[in-house]
Amino acid sequence: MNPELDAERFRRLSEELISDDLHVRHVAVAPNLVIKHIYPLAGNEGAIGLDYRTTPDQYASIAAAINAQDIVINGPLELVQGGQAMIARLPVFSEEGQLWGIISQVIDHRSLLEDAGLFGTDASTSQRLQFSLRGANGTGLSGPVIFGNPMIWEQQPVTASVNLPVGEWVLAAAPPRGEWEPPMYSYYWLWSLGTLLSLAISLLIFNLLTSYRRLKHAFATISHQARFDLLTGLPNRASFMHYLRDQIEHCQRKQGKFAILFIDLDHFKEINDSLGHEAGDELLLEAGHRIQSSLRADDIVARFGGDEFVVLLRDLADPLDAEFLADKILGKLQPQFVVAGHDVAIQGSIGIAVFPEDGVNPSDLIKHADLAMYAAKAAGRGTSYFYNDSLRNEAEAHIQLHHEIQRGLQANQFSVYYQPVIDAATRSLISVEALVRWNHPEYGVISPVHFVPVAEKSGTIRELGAFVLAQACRDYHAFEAAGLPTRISINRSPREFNDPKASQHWLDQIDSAQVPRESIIFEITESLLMPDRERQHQMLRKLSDTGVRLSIDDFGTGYSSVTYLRRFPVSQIKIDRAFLHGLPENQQQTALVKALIEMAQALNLEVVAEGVETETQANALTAMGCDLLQGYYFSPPIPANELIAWHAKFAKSKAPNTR
Amino acid sequence: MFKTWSIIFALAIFITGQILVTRFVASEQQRDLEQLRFTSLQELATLRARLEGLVNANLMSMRGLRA
Repeated sequence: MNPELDAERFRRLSEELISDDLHVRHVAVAPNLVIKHIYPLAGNEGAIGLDYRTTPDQYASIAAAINAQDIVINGPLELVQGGQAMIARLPVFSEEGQLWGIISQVIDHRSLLEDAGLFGTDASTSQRLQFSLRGANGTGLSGPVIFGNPMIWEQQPVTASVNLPVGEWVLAAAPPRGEWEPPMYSYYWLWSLGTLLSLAISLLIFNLLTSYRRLKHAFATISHQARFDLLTGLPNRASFMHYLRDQIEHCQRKQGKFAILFIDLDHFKEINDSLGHEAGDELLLEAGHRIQSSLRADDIVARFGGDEFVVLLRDLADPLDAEFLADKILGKLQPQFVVAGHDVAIQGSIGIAVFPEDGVNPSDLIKHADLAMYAAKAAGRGTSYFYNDSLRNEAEAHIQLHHEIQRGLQANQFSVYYQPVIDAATRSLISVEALVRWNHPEYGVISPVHFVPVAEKSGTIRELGAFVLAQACRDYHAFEAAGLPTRISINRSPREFNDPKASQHWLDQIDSAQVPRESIIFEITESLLMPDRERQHQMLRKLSDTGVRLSIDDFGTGYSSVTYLRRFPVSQIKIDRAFLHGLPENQQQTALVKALIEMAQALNLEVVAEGVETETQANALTAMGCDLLQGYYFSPPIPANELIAWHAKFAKSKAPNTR
Repeated sequence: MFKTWSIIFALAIFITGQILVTRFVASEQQRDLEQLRFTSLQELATLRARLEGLVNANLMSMRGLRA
């Protein structure tokens, strides 16, 4: 720069250089740091002659410019003349590098920024973005805000640096809302579409599941209808044939037996016609229930259509049991049905076929049972019929016997005989065993051997047992009056223990007859002591606890377990008559009896020998230590009045024996 | 019983659907944000260039005076 710059030349030069489109307010030239020229001079005359060295606040920026040897922009600052502006300082050096002076330029930064477009070039931009500039004095990000909302800097703005000759400014932009994310509601169409879609899918799936459930339900109904009768809910023919085939296979492997009962309701058609089909259906339903209730748990009853029912009786020990079950069914059908307000009596006819005798395939068995059913109908309805001749005859004999026993009980054909039991040592009467006898009007006296098994099977044994106990209680008082020792043994069948209330009934019977319980001995079989009969064991304990004595009948023929004997409150064992055969000649037999007696003694049990027939036997048993003797040698079973007479004679004849 | 399960299942499907929709909308929002920042940056670059140009034009007059 020419040091000899005069005022006029400076004015012309400035006029040329500073055009209107620039934002320069004025320019000052200060050689040697003292202001010499100002353009435009008007209004700024006061500044001429100002020495920067004397104005410390301006000198600092001038020193910085000199130091940087380039233009330094300061501000915005408050001007002496008023208003705000930026000041650019340019240090000027001579060719030798000596500081000549300073050129200062005051820039109207607001119009500068406005021209640059920071106030928003158009409406859409200002709506989307707000701008801010910071870095006064070229200090960049760390500097104070020059323009714009300072909050923008907190809102993760996008930034760009504006390079200055020395230092920089930083420009930032952020949305006016303060957040960059568009608000969620602006996606309402996506929301609606997505919600509609997921709603549609979930409804579709719900419908699918519902129809799947309906389908499954329908399949279950179909499969149930295919296997069961709609009316009674019992298995139908197809399903029954399936069970039958399985049962045949099972029984062929295990050599088992089973029976088929073909049941037809007699005169069902007449009821159906007179009372209507609904009444008929009601009757069938009730009949189905009654048949089912008379069977065991694993038997199967099916409805074959119309008024035909078929029953599969599984695991029959004896084919004749089928007859009793058939009778039970007929008995259950007997009571009147109440159908549509009418009392209706109905009977059934039952045909019985037994595997394997009457066929080894399902169709043969069904056919034969059906034929037997027609035979039953022909024989007069309300009855059952075996297909097999021999079984039929046997069953008929059994049924006849069963009915005759019942008739006999009503007609007082049964009586009780007594066989004396003698004390081995003193040869005096100790007790008597009550034995039932049947005085049949046609066949004479029948032994229990012939009718007790039938009575056991048909259940009449309970009535028979009650009769014997009642009679024995009556006779007890007669014996007592006649001066007989009064202990009475009564046989009890294992079947009688099936009724849980039986023991209480017996005790009541004994008490009401005013017989001391200690005078009654119940003879039971060893089979009752088997381990799987807990309920029966409880009844035995109850009997024993209340005073009734227990005796094991026919000891030695069954299981003869010493363990059971020890565990139960048994007071007596009776050695079976079979052991006395060949006594005392047969040494083995003698040893066996001796062992039995010694065992009983060891267990503290009374021993009775049954079937004593000779004096030698009686003496031998006495010598072995047997407590009591019973047998024809002393007396056969005799009626009560004869026993009293016998005792009078026996007591007299005993006198020499005991001597 | 089965019906209750069907309703619960359908409801679960609906909720899953809504979660997916929310995630999709959130990713859309993120995408739009990136886009906005990108255009903003571009605009800012133009503005910077203009500002630098104007500042330099003013300073040029000073440099001319020195010469």
